[in-house]
Amino acid sequence: MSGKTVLLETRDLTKEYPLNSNLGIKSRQVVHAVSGVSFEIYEGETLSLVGESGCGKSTLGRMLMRLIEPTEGQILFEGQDITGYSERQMRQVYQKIQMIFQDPYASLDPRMKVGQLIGEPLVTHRVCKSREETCGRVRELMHMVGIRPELIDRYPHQFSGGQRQRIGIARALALNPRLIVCDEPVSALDVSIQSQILNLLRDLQQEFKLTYLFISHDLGVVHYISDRICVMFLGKVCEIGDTQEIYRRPLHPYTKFLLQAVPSMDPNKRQKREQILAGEIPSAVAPPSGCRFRTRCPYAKEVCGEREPEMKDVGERKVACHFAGE
Amino acid sequence: MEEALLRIQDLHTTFYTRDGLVRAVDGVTIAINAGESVGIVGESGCGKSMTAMSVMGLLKKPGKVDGGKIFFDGRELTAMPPGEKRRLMGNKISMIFQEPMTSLNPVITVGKQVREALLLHNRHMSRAQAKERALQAFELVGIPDAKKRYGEYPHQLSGGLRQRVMIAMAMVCGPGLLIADEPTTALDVTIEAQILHLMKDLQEEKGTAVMMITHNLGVVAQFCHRLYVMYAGKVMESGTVKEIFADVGHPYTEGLMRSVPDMESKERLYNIRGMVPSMLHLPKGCRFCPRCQYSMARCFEEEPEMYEASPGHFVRCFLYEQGKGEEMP
Repeated sequence: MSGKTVLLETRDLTKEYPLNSNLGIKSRQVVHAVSGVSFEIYEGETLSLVGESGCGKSTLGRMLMRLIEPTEGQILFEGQDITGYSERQMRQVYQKIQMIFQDPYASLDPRMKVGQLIGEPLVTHRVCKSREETCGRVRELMHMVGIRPELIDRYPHQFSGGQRQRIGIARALALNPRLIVCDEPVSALDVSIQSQILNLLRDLQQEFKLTYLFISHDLGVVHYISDRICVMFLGKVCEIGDTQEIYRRPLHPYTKFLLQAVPSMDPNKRQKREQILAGEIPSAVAPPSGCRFRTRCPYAKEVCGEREPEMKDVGERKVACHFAGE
Repeated sequence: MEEALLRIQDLHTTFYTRDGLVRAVDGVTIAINAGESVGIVGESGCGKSMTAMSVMGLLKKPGKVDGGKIFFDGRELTAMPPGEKRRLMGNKISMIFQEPMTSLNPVITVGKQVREALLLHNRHMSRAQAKERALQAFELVGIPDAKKRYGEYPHQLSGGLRQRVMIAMAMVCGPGLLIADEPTTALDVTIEAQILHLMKDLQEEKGTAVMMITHNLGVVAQFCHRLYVMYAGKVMESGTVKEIFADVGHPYTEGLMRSVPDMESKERLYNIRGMVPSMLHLPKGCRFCPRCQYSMARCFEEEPEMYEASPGHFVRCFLYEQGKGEEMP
């Protein structure tokens, strides 16, 4: 990709949560949810944040939307630093960044009809001039995501999980956003429905030149949907780069083990013991010194505990490992 | 042929709801041999968990087994007095669940919970002996620092460790059959790989048969010898993992396999059209036919039986009425 424009950029984005003791007294300990994450999202691409639970991928996604205030660092959208924007200024931004959530059951108000749900962003942002116009746009949106417009007066509980996720997507599309943050949008769905939603997201992206930040733990899904991936471990980025290249030749040991852990659909290719990563994810309250992955890393050397690896450029890729590219 | 360890024969489990009868399990026949691992695959609502719950006798109202027989080790579970059945459950047949937190008691230490399971089924065992055995079980399932963990409460453990505790509890009495209902679905992928390997080791070492209920075809490919594919309360296909993954029979199984992104190709994913039918209004004829790309006029009228496509490989589809014969169009 040459001549690509950066749509959104983060610089050393950090989120630390103070840890409350049982009595409600703030202690000095903090949870390091996201620590100094920098990346760019280019226009028209899908960048996926991948990692296991607790790696900070969802926190990061929410920070971009300013649903969670970052402790430190900056978020630049279309070249503007939106980190200090007031709520009023953010309203402008929300026309351009929207979000799709994981749980289609929890993210739709059960007392609102589908028409109201999809029309809500149109009304709050006063995009349409008349009721007829709003209604027309809602029908158009329903058609786009594959829900029959006749169902406009139904309530969310009358729909299946897959259809609800379509409603969530229609809501996100209502304002013609440039960037959609998709937080595990297919994790709660059955495989046959999952593939329908993934194909829909891909079609919509092509049609409307959308940019996606796709958050997922499912490496199969991520491979299918993304152009580039950003692998995270315990609040830090391990590796960022082209999806195909990373899957073909992971450079960070964590990426390698993560990919090997996925149960293969080929019964003749059974996982070998040495391909399995031992141990558990360390605590985010007291992350290991130096490289945060070193306690689980079979290749760890002394230097890994002493110094934190910096992001190194290896070809087109960025890798945070002392031994990357060697 | 040898008598199977678990034989489920034409099982019917029905939920008597206000809106009508929901036949969650509608004539399911499954056999699991000793020491074998068998996958039960399907999407949510296909009846795979309800089949397991029926075997365990854990159905809650308004659900009821109202037809069919279940045999374990030659004895009929469905005709057994409750007391005798209770002695079998957790002892000779045990079960682990998807979310270990909800199956563990939050106010009792994990060690004590495992010990209780032992004492319940072994009247003559002393507490000290039980503790000894429980600790051995902890070590067996790879819980690091077993002595310390023994005295901890479930909330102090990570998801992976909790699932290990559940496995220790399930295995401590040396069951002949372990029913695992989505045991790794709630876990991260590196932890999932650890747990699957642990289960496989235990199975090979102890010769325990495993009934693996899952929606993840990868887990089946990695873990099981044979599989049953369920759809809307019925078994649609059964056979060995090797055979089905190499030469899939039923259009539904084929659709499922092609819907999963495989980390190799970026080609457009296959979609099974439509969605799972409501169990209250099942289509006439084959229950998959409205979504099937090969459906014929006949499929909408008659219900297909299980036809033998090749030795040991059964498919509930008219395309296989004359064996495998010709290839699918």
